[in-house]
Amino acid sequence: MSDARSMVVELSRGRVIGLLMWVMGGASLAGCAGHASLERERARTASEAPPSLVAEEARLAEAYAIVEDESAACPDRCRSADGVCVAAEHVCDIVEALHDVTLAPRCDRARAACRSGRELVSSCGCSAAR
Amino acid sequence: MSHPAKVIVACSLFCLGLAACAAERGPTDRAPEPARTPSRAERLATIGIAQGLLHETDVLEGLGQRREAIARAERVLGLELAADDPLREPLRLDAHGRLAELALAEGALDEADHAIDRGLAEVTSRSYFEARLHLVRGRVLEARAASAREAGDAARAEELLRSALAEHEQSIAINEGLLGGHEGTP
Repeated sequence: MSDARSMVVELSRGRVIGLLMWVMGGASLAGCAGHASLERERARTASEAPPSLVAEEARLAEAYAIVEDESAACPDRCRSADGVCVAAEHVCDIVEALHDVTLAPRCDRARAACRSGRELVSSCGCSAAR
Repeated sequence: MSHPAKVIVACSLFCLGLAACAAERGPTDRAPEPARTPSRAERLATIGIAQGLLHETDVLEGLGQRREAIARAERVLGLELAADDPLREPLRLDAHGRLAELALAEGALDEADHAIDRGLAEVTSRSYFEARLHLVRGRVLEARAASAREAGDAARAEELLRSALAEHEQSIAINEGLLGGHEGTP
């Protein structure tokens, strides 16, 4: 009698454990499916930006190109031409201070570089551009 | 299906669920995300901030507020400009150049030299800003020559002036290279 009872208890405990396992297995699969679905949705929204964002990105790209191009345009060339002339003035001042006639050609070269630089940027209208 | 078989199937299902979840999470949940690349808008904003700070540096210098001007130029160097941004180098060299000029104006020649060294160490391509660093170096050497002359060391003064001459010529050569063969674009 006692053996029969313990068998019944053992059997129902086994059923409960089995049922629990089924429930947990099913729940974990369902949870994963939900998680995967969320991830897919997140990836989709990231790749499919709304048209307004695409337009904004294009506008920013254009603005960025303008900022980048500035480095190659007149303002920089004017600065370079000015830089040559400022440095040339220093060269000539130093040549004069050193009282060394052999250095005189270096002042001449520097002044020539200044004139040449100014000519190269003559179409920029440097003083107006700065 | 027998009872042990049911238990085995349930266990397998449970384990499969856990494994699937682990696979779904992937390595990103375990490892930290790599550094995010700044968007174009963020890059533009940072460049705009840098340009604004450099403009403020000019204004403050014009007002004679050199310490404040130095603080603005230093803030440019603290900005995180993307390493592959073509404007990063000119902006940073500009800041180094301004810091050197401001230090020179304050008579802080060692500080000026330090700013020039830091700037020249970042140069990867020829630019007006590199030329300006050489120009400021020349001016620093001229200031040192004046000090040497005042101290009665004529030989040292001459040596320093000759070094200054070379720096100014280097500055001219760089700017000439940038101007050479190009037509101005209005």
